[in-house]
Amino acid sequence: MAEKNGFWPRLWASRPWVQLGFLVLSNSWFTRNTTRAIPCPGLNCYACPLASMACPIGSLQHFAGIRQMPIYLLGVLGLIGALGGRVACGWSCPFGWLQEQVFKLAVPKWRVHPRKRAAWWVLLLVSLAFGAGVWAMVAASLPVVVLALYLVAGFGLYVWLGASRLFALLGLSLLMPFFTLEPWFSKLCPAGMLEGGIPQVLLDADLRALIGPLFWLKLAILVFFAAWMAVTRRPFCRWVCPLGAIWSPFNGCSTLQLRVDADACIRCNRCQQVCPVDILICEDETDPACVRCMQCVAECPVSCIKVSGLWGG
Amino acid sequence: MPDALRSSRSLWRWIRESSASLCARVEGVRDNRRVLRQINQALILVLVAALLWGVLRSEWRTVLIHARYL
Repeated sequence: MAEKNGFWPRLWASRPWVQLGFLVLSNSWFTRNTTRAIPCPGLNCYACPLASMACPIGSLQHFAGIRQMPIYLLGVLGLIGALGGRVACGWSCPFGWLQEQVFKLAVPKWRVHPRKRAAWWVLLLVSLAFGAGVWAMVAASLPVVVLALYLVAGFGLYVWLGASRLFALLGLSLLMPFFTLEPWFSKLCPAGMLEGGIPQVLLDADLRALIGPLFWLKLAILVFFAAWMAVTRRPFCRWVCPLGAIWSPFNGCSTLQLRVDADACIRCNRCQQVCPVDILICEDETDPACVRCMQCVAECPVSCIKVSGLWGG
Repeated sequence: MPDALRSSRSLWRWIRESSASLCARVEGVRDNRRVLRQINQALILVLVAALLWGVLRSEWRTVLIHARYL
């Protein structure tokens, strides 16, 4: 059996507390005047009245909107990725923590996996057609909610094409803000609704008067994801999160690595049972979906999964 | 120009073969720990430089002002 009392197993077991600590740290209202220039290592809305750090995706959209290369932001996010891959998704993302807590609800579970990505030329053709639709809608000055509904439908299409996170990153967080000067990912983000939209409206009577169809659409998106995260493991991370899409490619070349001893592995699939993103790490130790939570390392009955540093021997 | 590029059909074949060969090389790199270590070190160097450059350009101030505006 695996050693359960060493330093590392105890650290892996304390992950919910570390996640909770980051939730408090990124929403420590009293430090907001100084720490709001630092991008949060996770998805945390900076429209939240308590937010003390900047939302990395919100900041990315802002830079796209002002058409400036976000060098500082890319440096911070890239450095997190180069050191730990998606470790921030597993250890410091407040929205990831929330999804894990909601999944603990005693309701029937639904195991579902993202589809295999369609061929690049299919994605290119669909994207050109979809982009033409967006351009026509913007040129026709249709109401914002119509464009929002079109984007939500587009998201469904990209889920089917197995490229929904790319759509969220390239389409909603970079290209749409660049061309329309509006932060479209934030306009639809369920984390933003939960932490920013609802509290702001509750606290400010003037804002309540401004509630329109977009607010209700965003609330419907939040309710949809709340229901989905109760039945499926971390759906937002696996199908939507643009921050995860930025960090995913780093899993293969980050300093922090997982190593699986294939000869020792007994194929019991325990790693998949405890994995918060439902992957079989013993098949691909650099899986882009892996959030480096180390749950599999702690739970493997034959200790064949090890944490390893790329710089080590 | 390679012979393969003389007609559109052979151009298409050349693109497919080149991308397959590139993918195979990337797959090879994935298992080469020494190359991965070098890539990782180079990435960290470039990203630290980007971070410092961004700080010197006061980009953090842009983030702060935007976050405060919210």
